[in-house]
Amino acid sequence: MRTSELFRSAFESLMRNRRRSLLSMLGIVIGIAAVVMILSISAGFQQNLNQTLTRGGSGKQTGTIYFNAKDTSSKLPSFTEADVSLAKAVPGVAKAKIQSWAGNQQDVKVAMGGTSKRQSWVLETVTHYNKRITRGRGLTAADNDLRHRYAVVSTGFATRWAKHHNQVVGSTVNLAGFNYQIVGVFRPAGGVNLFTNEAAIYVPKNAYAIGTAATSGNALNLTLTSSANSKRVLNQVAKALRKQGSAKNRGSYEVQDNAKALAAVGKILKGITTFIGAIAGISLFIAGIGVMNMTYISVAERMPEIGIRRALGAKPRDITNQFLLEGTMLTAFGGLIGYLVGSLLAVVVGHFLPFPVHFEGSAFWLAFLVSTAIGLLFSVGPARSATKKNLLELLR
Amino acid sequence: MLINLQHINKVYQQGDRQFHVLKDINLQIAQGEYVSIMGSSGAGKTTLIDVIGFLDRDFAGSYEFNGQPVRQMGENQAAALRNRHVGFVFQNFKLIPTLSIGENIELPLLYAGKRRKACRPLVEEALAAVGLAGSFRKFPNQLSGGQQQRVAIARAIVNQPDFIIADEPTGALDSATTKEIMAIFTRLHQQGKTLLIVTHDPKVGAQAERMVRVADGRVVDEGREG
Repeated sequence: MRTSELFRSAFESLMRNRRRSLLSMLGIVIGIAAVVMILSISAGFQQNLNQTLTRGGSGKQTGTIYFNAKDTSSKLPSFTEADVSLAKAVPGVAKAKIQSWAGNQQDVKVAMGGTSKRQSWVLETVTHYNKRITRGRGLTAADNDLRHRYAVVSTGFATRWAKHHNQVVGSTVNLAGFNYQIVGVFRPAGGVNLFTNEAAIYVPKNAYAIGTAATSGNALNLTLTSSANSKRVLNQVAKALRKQGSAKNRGSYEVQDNAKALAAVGKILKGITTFIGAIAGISLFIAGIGVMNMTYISVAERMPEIGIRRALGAKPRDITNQFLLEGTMLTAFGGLIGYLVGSLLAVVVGHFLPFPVHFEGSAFWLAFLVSTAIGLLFSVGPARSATKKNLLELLR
Repeated sequence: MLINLQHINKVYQQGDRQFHVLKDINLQIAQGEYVSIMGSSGAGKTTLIDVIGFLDRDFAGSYEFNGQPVRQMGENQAAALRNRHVGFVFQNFKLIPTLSIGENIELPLLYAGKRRKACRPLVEEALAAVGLAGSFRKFPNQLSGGQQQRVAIARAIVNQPDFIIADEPTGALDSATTKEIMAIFTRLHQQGKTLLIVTHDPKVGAQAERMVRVADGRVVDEGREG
């Protein structure tokens, strides 16, 4: 039989038993939908992770050198501008920046007004802050130099504050025993960030007396060129600092390769994804068994029909191909529907997640290929068995 | 010679018993002959036409079809032969109930490699030849026994086979319908078709030009006068 006619014949046969075909397809639809949904969500999570860890975004290689001071009470800076120049001189380093670490964050208890109960908020000291200001203004370097007791608060803080105060900007808040004037409100960046908590209150560093030494935990953030061997370059910077760093005698330098950290987390993520994927794979296997069962029943039911077709001139392979095609068309179509359902579900679930879901074109082909393969694999047995019976027995 | 059987022997194995169903059959049928194969049930008529119609290649002896030996053929070749050269008509019609009349008649053409579009006119022609024009979209369960048998005949002739084998074609029909069906066969023969009709009904058998009698696995009367 012509191939085009074989396809048409198989399709019409499936349409004749619509309910049975749909039920057999259901297993594949569910299995593929589950796999697609999981893959999209995990891909989105991984992408978000990438962006968070590589602080420059855009996939640039980054690394960090930490300084651990021997004398933790010392107030001497861990890194100076000289150190920055030293780092930049190392080939492979594109940018270098001193960063105050999360050690500059702390919890403060703030009396929000009205009731006497205090709420705990995360406060961070900065040299300046000007991101996503929605009301008033940010903190300038001048504020820091002049040690102004100004504060910029998050929208979440502002909402609570406004319950007991007429205005936010311009009002006074007491932080760790001192009064600060709120000069602006900012909108938090949001998103899932595994390494830092975003603060709700920013104040100038010089205005805020911190008990802990500013030297411990300071870090030098490095952005490397794309062609650099991150491990080697970072080690070279550390070596240069150990030789000529401004704090070389006061403590030790430690390298953190962000790429490695990223790879480590990525590995864990991959492991989880693989595990869940395997479970979804088992469901696909079970669906395949369902298709095989249905095809066997179909063959048994249509034995007289098979006898007639063969008497009229159908070769054994015509019969085998017919049933093989019926099973495969079923699963392939189920795979397509499963992909659509899974994508839809991923979008719906994505609304409840703090990161966007990520669709890859490869997921579509994966779904199509896997479902077609399942159809072929699980239909071969029954399709072959359709021609095993003796023709004469079938006819009489 | 279209069909040439020489020293055909067939043995059935059932358990540990052997049944010698065909015993040294010698039979020749030429193109255009109208032959009836008669005998009581169990005589071996059905087994004989199974061999002649390429349905059964498990026999001893020589079967030449148009000079071509049949026994050594593989299943694929035999299927092609059936498709191209034989039209079958069975006692219980053997139409596929889930297909329409037209789709049933189409089957030999599709297995010959034709496109469905090309089949339509040929199917309509065959339907007209058996007096059922316009029944393309109907289903077998909507037709009477006689009509279903006509559809089976249409299916048997649609691919222009060399010969038609009918196994008790009127066995499930009443006498009036039997007459109609036999009239169709007569008409086909007049158009030059070769017919082999197996029957135990003497009235049906008498309508053929030549009556071959089979008894106990042997041809006892070849029906050739002189």
